[in-house]
Amino acid sequence: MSAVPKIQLTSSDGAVIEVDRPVAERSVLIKHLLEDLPEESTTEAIPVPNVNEAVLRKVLEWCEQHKKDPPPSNDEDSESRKKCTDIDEWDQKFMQVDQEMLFEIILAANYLDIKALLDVGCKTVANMIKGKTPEEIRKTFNIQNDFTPEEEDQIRRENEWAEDR
Amino acid sequence: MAGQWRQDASVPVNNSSYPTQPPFKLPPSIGFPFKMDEGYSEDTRSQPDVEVASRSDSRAGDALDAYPNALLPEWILALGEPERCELAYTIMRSLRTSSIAQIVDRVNPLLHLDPVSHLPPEIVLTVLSNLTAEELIKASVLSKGWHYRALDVQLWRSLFRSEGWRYNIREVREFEARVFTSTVESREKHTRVRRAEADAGRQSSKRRAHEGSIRLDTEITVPSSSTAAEGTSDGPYGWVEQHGVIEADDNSPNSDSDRMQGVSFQHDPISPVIEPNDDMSATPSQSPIRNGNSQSPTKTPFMTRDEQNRPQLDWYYIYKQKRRLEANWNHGRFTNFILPHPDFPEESHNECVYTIQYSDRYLVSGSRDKTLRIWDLETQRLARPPLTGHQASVLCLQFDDSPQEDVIISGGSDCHVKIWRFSDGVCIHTINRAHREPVLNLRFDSRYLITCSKDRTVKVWNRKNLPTTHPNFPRPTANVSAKFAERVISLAAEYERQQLSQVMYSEAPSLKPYELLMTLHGHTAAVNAIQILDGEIVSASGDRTVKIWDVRSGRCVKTIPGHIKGIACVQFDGRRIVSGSSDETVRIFDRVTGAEVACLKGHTNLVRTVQARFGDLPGAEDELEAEARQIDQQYFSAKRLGQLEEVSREVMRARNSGSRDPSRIFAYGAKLPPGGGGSRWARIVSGSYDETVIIWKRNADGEWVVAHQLSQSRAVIKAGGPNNARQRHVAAAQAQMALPNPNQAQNGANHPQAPAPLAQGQGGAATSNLQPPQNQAGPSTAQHPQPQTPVSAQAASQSAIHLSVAISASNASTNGSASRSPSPITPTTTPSQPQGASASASTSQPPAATASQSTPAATPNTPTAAPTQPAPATPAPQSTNEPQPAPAGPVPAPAGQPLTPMQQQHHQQMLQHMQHIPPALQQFYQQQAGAAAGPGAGNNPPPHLLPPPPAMMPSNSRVFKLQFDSRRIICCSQDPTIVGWDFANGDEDIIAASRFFGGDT
Repeated sequence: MSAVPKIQLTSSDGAVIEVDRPVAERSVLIKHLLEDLPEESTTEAIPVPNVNEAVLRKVLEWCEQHKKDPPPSNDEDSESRKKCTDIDEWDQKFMQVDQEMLFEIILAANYLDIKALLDVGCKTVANMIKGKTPEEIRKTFNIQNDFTPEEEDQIRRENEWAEDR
Repeated sequence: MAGQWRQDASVPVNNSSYPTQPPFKLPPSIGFPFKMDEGYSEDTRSQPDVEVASRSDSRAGDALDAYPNALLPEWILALGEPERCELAYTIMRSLRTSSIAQIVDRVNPLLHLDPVSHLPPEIVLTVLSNLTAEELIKASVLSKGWHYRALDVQLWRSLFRSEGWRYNIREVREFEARVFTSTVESREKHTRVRRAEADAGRQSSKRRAHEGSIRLDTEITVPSSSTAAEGTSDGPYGWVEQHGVIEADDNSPNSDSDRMQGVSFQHDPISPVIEPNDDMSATPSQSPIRNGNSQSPTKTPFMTRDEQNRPQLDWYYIYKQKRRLEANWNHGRFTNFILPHPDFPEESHNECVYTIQYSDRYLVSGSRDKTLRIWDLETQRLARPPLTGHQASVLCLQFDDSPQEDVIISGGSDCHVKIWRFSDGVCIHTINRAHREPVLNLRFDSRYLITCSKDRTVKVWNRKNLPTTHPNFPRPTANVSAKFAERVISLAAEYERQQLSQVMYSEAPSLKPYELLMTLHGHTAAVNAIQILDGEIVSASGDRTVKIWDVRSGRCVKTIPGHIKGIACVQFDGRRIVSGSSDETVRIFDRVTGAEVACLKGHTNLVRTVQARFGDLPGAEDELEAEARQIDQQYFSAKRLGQLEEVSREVMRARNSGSRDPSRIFAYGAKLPPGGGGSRWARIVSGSYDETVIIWKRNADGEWVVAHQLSQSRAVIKAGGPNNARQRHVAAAQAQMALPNPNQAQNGANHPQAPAPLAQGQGGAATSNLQPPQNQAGPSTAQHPQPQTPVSAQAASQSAIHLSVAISASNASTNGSASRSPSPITPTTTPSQPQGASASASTSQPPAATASQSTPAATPNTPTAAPTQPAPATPAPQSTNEPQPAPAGPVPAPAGQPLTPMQQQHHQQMLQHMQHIPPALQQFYQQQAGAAAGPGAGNNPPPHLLPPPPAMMPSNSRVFKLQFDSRRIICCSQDPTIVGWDFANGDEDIIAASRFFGGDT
């Protein structure tokens, strides 16, 4: 039994992180990159210029946890149909970070092409919207209401249909 | 260092704004890079190496927060993050608690980032795609940026799909194709314009918000002045032209339909595309100018523009209108319309209409008057002259107006099946004597035509030339249920011989179109209704069973009992079988197990027609089964725990309309949950001999309940129907003393939603008009032997006759319970009510029996309104109150009856109403009546031309067939007038959007 191959990643702020190759390959971007690289050059550190060390470590922590997940299905229908925003417990805990980190993780997942992580991130944000009044949502995200009272009134009338069942 | 700062703490702190040293003033003219509605595209992708402090620039409107660094001395900026952190904390500790609190308040928002300005749009959309429509609506009020994102068309497109709604693929593709081609062309032609426009868009910092507010401001209009290229873009997209709404759309909604009239019968999806292109090439470069001149808004409410200003289908609008339409269904808001158009009563069928089907644009009806008629639903006019050829009533039909098929197939009491070209109404083929007895129903798909008959059989015919080498060619097998046609057997045998001898055909012999493939035996009574879906035929019979057959082998794969009387109608969607029966219920069966998953009670007479739309979501099968299993488990665990009492007879009899309550479950193991599953928009519509149409919805518990009960006859009146209302009024006016139907008055006045009362109180019970009429479902004796019995039994529904035959046959043969029902099930009485065997019920029996013995064709062309029965309801306007109506005759209004106050009131109303009819029109109707009674009509003029008395009307509207789509219910009945309920309710937005709603058939 040979040892799990390792690769190195360089974060935007210059930190070099060593990681199991299968873990890193949760990132489709890195996976494809490694596939394209000649065997011998996989020993060189791969630069990840859009992700800083803190975020990259966090992302890799997630990848480590989910390294055995089955590959994502491409079933668009069931995907779009699933409105449920259930997130498994570990992921929920994982996502208990400040909003800046949360967004950074989402951006990194997007850049590294880790769809499942991107989804979890987006669902986490969506859950911060659910079940709240508009005012509470504005507070949650520090959203400035830039509507004039007239516009607000108009929107309210516009949206009346959603209450008429 | 810390001490140093603590010293500084002695400096008096200015509470109001800047707790730090005054020398750092805010630069007065710092331009804010912060634009809430802009922030998502360029500067939001945070650079990983940017420090927190400097990234907070776009988080809040506060200048200090926007440029905190500007306030800090160099030496602080030179510190690293941990040092600055320590420094800040130290400063904080030096402050009074109240100051700290203030700072916390101010800093707190910095911890909260607006995703719309911090995440790229595609990720924001992914976030939003996890929200429901209601949540998105809530999100849209947060800010302009959110508004724009939350109303993204792709989001709403997927929401639309995820509701289980279908959309009209053809219309959507047409739109998209049109947009595509015209975009390409206008790119080529107007590159300069487009670029200028794009620049303009970029310059406007409020561009996105503005687009959002276009929707806000006008919702249904895109102000053409908003973009310079509107003329070049909208024109080509063709909606304008196709609608004919360029100039005058706001004022004349009718112009649409006028315009549409010019379109050829063959609904040609290509022509509207060409038209706009012509227009575009005619006005390519002046378009902006033209546009500048005409300030009239262009009505393309379902169109919006993407960020490149390209037009796209506005799925938010479409979703919204769909929801508004659904709300109209739920609240029973509709307008009524009739065929024929009230202004053209001469286009009407002459007798009752047994069958209809409609497509987006056309409705085809088949009547007892032996004709089929093709109606243009947009104009409510006949699309072409009636199709004649059947020698007796047309009982069933199906059509496909697509250019590939272009066909109508009809079956009749004459036992023939006729195939017509839809586009020109020419009969291109007749299957003579397709059955030994009337053809009660037929369905076809691209391969097969399936017919069923009173002769108890189902027949399968091939539709296209079918060579023996074709995989669809039947391979006859020994089979108890299917008898293959001789020719099929011999051809198949020959084919096998050929195969054995290895001789290749030069040309394989084949079956010609509409040759019989096989006859399916097994039902023990008339087969009243049939469906085919993929490889399965579903048939429903007077023998109280539904059977499922394999269309290739002809094998009967399942027999589903359940109904306690004959079944009149059936619908099959692949998962569930929905059937309506003489037992007055609609039931839903699981196809796989045959389990009854719901029983819907609400009608008070035979359920003659039903359509269901469950609105399954893609891939719903597994979920349905999982749900079913879960409910089963709850049932079993409740049972184990002894929570369930023995199912009482009452519960059994009450059945279950879809409840998940374990105590009410009486069928398990189904692949479907109770009620049959489906989306929250699931809907069943059924029509009955009780003269009403019921719209069924599921309540929160999943039970099917009556959402609305619609009266056929009232709808005709509401739509200004000539046959009943106006002519009746004419008649009433002529008679001066006509006695109105008190029920009608009451209903109209007081109980707009009161179900079915028109159908009742006719029972000859003189008391009925003294009571409020809405005791609809009551088992009251007087109401069940309905007075129209004689009329309908004799003069009206032949298919009803088949049913009655079938049902009584089944009573006799298959079920000993016949003895429980003292009278054979006639189409008119409801023997399930023991009290029904009252005096009047027995009066009604003889005619019914007569009718059931005679073949339908043998029934003379007695018009509905002029029955030969002992107790015809026809002529007596006061028959409601008169146990013995006056004898039949064209003189409508016997005078001299005392008027009850109610009647007087109604009489007044009618006279008033009469005054609204222009004299010319009255004359017209009278002439119509006279003319029709004259030539060719024989002794009995068609009923609608003979003004029937008002009291007649309610007994004239047993519902025979209905169909609904996303917007309308249309039904035909004993009344020659076809009536529709349009739940768009006249709303222009809903109407505009509804072209994109998919049908439900």
